[in-house]
Amino acid sequence: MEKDKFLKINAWSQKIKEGCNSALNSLLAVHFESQNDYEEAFSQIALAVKKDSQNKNLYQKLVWISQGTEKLNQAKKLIESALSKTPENDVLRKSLGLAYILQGEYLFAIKNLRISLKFNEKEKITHFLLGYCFLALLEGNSNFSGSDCNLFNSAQEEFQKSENLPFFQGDSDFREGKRYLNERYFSKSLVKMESVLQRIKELQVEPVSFCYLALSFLMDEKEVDQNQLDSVMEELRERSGQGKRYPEIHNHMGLCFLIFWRKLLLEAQNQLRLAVEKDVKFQKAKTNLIFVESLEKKNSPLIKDLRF
Amino acid sequence: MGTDQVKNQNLRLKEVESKNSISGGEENLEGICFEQRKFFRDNIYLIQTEYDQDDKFAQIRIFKNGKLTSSKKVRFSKEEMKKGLRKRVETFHRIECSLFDSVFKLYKKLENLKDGVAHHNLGEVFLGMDLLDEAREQFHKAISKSPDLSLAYNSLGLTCLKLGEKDQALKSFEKALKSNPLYADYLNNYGCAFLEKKMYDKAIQQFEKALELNPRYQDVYLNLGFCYLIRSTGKGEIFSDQNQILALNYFKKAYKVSLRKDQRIGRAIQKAITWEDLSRLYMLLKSNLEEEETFTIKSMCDYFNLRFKYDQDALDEKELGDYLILLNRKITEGRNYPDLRAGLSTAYLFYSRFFIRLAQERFLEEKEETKSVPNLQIIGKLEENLDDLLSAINP
Repeated sequence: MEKDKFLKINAWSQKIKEGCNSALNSLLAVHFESQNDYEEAFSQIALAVKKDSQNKNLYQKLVWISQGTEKLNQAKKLIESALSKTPENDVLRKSLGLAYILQGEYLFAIKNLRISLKFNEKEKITHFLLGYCFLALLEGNSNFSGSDCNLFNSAQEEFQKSENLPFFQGDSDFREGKRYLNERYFSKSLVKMESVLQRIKELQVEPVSFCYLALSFLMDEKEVDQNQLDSVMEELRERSGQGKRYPEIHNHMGLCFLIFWRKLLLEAQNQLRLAVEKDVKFQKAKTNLIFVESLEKKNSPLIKDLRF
Repeated sequence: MGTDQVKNQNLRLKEVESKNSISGGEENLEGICFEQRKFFRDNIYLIQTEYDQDDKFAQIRIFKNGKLTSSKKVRFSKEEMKKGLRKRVETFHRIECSLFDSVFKLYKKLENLKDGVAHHNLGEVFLGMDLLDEAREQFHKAISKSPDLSLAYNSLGLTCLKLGEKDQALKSFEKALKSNPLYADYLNNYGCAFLEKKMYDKAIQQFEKALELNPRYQDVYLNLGFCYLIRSTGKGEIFSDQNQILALNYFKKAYKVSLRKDQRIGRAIQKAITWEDLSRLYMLLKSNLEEEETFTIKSMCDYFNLRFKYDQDALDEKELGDYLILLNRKITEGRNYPDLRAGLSTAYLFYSRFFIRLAQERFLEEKEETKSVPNLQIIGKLEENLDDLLSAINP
């Protein structure tokens, strides 16, 4: 990462800690994770959860960011505490199930994922996660016995239920994983499904390039870099074009268009200022500048409420 | 055919010669020529775009009722030539044709409105297309709807000058100056009308007044120099004739205030000794100025401002994007004029609307997600605010 970009983000993280929108902490968490600073990443995402405990999507991100670290237990505690307040929340249950999967505790994972499906039976990713748990349990048994038939059938059934999601339809690992499962090559199937599982993270956690762009936007940096914006859009397009159509990606793309939109407004304002500077008697430009500035005033509070 | 009916013969877009082919990886450009006819108010307009393979440029010609009214050249960069020239020529042709459709549509829209400024702007667009009768008609309408609009008198004067109606031009410039005497452009044009009538003293008087208002007005220096050049004897060396000395001084000043410093001109100034040298210098400076001319880009601004006001729903993202690129390029090249910047800002505002719509579409794609609902509500409000602004601003 370029030195000045790094310094800028560090300066922002100091400001952000002092208390502001939870989106900023959540974006910073992704940045620190990409820098392998897992400690800081966790503390940022935990702060985001604390600030906006009602935002259930943050809990999914919390689990992914804690993946592979000892912080996963703390993440589970945070989810459980949120669940004690809203026990019927399907996303929280799903997040808890995911945390158990990432720790290899498949029975607890199944328990939570089944509860999650009670509240939202159409959630395809939960079905996939459940299928993954059954497959992992099957793979753990060296000999396929009659009692494993139930696990086998359940795994097949859950993957079947999940495959309507375009993300899975376009994924070759998912297709191969299913084929191996049907042929009872459980280890091979699990390897394929493991890579699908890791890619689910891409759906639920934004790309790091997007985070930097969004941080610039939210920290009121007037000059959002055009090249950066283009490369983020390219990355998002690639993700959505590879069959990984998922709501989060569209939200990110929508936000990118909004960032570009605001950049154009600021540019318009800048041009009007230059026009008035050049010709102080240019009445039309003066009036238009007043209108554009008042639009900026109206828009600023709205933009701060956007969900990233 | 009804008088006010626009009938387009869009289907007649064809290549005159069909022997073009792409062979051996190289494009055969021989005989590329596109033609399209437009019918408007009992007139037939033929738009012809032809590629000149020898001189490597495309020429767009407009014929009105069989008579050539205008012709302009389009040069292509090496990059464009590599990408496929046939397509580029066709694109330019299509753009020109759609400009006709669009101005005729605006013509009809403005008929029942009381917007004199809009008529003036449309007249400027016609003037930019060298459709002088149409331009004159619009300026007259502008004057009848907004009798105090000095700009319309000035533009009418310019049109009359182009049509060779010198007395009419003088009257129009007088009226423009009566409403707004502090406009260097009007004084320069008024001076030019006197120049056309060979009334040099009066012309010089107006040019000097114009310089008092704008001491960096290159065209005025050139016109003044030309007046003295034409009044000189044309004999002997420059320094034996006061008029030639004055002409040289004005040409030097014109060069000093020019944006583009062409070294050839610098050398010509130093070497100027005879009347012929001065004449050559004048021609060089004039052609240098023509390359810098801003009328086309200003008439383009007028055209888009009209579209922003009266035809915004038909605006296309691509054409607006191209317009933005063009304006930005002109400003970067040194045409740092307030009205171009104001035009650029309006274009940005209208262009931004496409992005707010794209963002909205994206949020709608994920309407079942928790994040998108508040984002959709916010974007709805942002769009509302933007629409309020776009209806309030004066393009």
